[in-house]
Amino acid sequence: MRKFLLFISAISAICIIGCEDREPLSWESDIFLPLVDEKISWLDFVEDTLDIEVGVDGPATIVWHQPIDMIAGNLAPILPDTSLEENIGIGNIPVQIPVPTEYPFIVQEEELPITNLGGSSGAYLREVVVSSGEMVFAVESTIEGELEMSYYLTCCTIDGDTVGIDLVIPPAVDGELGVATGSMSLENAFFDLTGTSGVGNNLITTFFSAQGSPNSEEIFYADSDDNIKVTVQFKDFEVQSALGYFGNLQAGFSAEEILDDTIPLPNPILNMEGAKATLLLQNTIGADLRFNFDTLAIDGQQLQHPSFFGIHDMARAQWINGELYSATELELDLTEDGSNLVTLVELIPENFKTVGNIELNPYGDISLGNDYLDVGQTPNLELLLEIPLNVGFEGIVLDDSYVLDPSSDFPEFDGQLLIDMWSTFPVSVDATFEYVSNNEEGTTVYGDLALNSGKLLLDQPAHGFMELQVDKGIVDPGGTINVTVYLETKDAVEFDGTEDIRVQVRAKGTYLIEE
Amino acid sequence: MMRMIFSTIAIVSLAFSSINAQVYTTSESSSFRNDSLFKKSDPVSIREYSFEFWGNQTSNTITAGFMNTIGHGGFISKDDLDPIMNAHIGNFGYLGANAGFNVSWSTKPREGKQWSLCGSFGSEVIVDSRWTKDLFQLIWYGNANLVGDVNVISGSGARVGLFNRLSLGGIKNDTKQRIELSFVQRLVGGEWSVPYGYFYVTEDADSLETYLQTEARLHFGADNTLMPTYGVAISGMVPIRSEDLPVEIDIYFKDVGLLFEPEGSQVYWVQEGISTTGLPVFGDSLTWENIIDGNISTDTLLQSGKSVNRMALLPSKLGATLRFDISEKIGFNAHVSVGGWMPEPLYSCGIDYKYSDNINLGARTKIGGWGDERLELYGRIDIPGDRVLYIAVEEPIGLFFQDSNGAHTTCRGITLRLSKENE
Repeated sequence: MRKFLLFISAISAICIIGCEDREPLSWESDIFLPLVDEKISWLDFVEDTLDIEVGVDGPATIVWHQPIDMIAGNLAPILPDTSLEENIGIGNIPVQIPVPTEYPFIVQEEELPITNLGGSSGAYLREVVVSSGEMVFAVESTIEGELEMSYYLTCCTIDGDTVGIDLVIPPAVDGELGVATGSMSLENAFFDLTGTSGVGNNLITTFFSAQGSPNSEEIFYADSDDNIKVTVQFKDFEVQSALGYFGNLQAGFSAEEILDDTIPLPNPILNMEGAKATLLLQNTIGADLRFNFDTLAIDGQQLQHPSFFGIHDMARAQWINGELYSATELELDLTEDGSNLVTLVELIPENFKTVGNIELNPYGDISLGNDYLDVGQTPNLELLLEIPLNVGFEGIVLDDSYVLDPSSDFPEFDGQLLIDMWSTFPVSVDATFEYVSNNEEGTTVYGDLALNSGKLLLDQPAHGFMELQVDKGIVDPGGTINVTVYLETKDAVEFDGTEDIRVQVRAKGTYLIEE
Repeated sequence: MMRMIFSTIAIVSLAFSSINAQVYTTSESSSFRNDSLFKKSDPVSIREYSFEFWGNQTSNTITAGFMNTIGHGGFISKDDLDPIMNAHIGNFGYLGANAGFNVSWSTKPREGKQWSLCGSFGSEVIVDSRWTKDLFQLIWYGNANLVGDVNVISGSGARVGLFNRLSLGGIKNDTKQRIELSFVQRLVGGEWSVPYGYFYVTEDADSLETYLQTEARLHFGADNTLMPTYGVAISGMVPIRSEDLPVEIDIYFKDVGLLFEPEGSQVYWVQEGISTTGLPVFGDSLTWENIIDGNISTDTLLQSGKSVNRMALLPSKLGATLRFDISEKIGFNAHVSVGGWMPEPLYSCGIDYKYSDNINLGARTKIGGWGDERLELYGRIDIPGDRVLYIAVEEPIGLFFQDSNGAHTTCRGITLRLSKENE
């Protein structure tokens, strides 16, 4: 506001300020302006996994959506680091042959099986996309002439281009082998592992060719004793997606989650009538899953449940052309008869732990090699907990802070901060208002307010008012306004979730305007 | 623009052409050259002239003491402000000033001619400022006592201009009707106005709402070079005399015309509104923090540029004077005038007394213009040679504005006029 006024007054002042050797003009201005108008409500304290659903005919519901990270990475097929070694020669030709430089004198296409995939699970793959990986190539030659060679993985493409490497092999000299090495990244490489027939699996197809280098000045020869040793290493593969049969695998899991987003209800008395707890499982893998829970503990207390600890099979998700068409879901009601969950969550839970194992393809290769997995779409396990906001509690429930920046906006201010609070909480409220100045002393001014219970239905919020004396010393450096709200109920009280406390701060006083 | 000026000149010249034509077409040659179409004429001689200097400052609210306080600087207390605030009995406060000189003349009438040549030249600086009572209170007192009311800022503004004028025309010998074509130059000028603005804080300071639309024009070119602007106007006077009654009425108009402003004036324009109940401020991404931190881009609030061609009204002035002789020694006079950037019509009436054959003394009360009610004393002294010296002092005590006795005055002014009248 001051800038607004000063803009106008500055123009006026131009007309009147022009004399030299004069004192700066100053005068006092009385202001009465709104500074803060905010509402503190339940919703200010719920984020991410916690929500409050406003009740229509009943109490609001505190809802936790707690994801449980227990599966990611366990089920993805692992492509092991693989090393291939080939010795390539011209065969049993009894005479030396001149090495041609115009065309290859060695051409070799091979199918190399991946033999150590998935251990004894019987897994095989038909197609794989790797998010990362590297091919390291080394070649040793006994031929006493410079060679040009090509080595290509004909089953592997990156962006449609066949993956391969071209090298120049130096000549062997005086028994010293000609050695050449190279490497290339296989990031986002697509492997078709069905072989040349197109119906196989776990097959890597390669192409090798060698010819004399056109740079060779003299004709050189190769005989049946000459050998070209090719070593190819595949390492550090990370699977992005895979098609095949992932085998019958079992993996244990133990997941513990802290319910970070909780609602600050000290010493709560929960009325659990209407509480719900559900464990939601979602299978996004194109393979059957079997869950077997050994433990489910809440704040260290073991859940007792009539059916939860049995076997839970989930059918495979449907994938079409690399797109998830439908996932399968399973809901386990944790509050069914015989469960002690309600007892476990009567105090707002803070810790959730589950232990068990997960089995992949419990019925074998029933998809005939059409299991599909994308590591970006892992199965989900989530705890959904809904507790009615029908509670009793005592203590600090809600608080909020507002920062007033340091400024010279109201220089030499001397006056009052007028604080009004309106509460629609159906319980009595004790509130403290605190202004902590940024000055060196950290001067704090504070006040208390006691508000009766508000009558939300009648639109009659409880009102409280206080005045705090402030001056330039604590206003000019800026500071923080902290509002803390204490609620107290004797018994459980129904809240519908829309309750709030409106905090209004106004500044009334005098400040000095100086030119 | 020049075309318009020349067109206007041409039209006005045509109006006067019959007067000049008489000189050539109705004359007869005599001794100088019998066959000549031209006649030897007497040298042009001045019949009447007047030199006038004036300076005045008037306000309906601002006292000399308050201006002194501002001039000296230092802390301005409520004791200084309260009298000014209390003087705001209307919606607006005004402060204006006017100073300049004017020289006017007319030639002797020629035998058989209805019209004689007349003209004038002079310079004048005019300062006009006005503000709403609410704006004054917001600036000097703050908003604490204004909560619950919509504080109007619309209509506030200020302007200043320095005008030079050169006029030429004719005066009718029998009736003394006078008309002149004026060429006006505005040497420098500036203006600021608030066409629309208000400031509103609810009674309990629950919310604040304000809107400001303001414009400033500085009539300077690039690098603050002078940018004179020219215009044309007509001025004149129509005396009305009665053979039966001792009443004299003069109706006059001055600088009725247009100023043709070329492009290039510096223009600043602000239009912004704020509505808030505290933190945050709603609309246009404005927050108190941003305002306080100066994070608001001035581009969103302040736009500047160069003006385009435009026509503006000159500070025209219209007026009428009534004089009535009550007796041989006592006369009554009344005067009304509007325009000249004055926010209100200026009224005056007074009595003059024939002190001697050569001296007339008088007093009149004035109200309006920029000022409130004030007294003007004047004297008219006949000087040998048909010359008259006129001296008027407006709010005499106001001339002692740096003295405590004049601190409460809001107006002051002085006029000197030396004129010669050949009958």
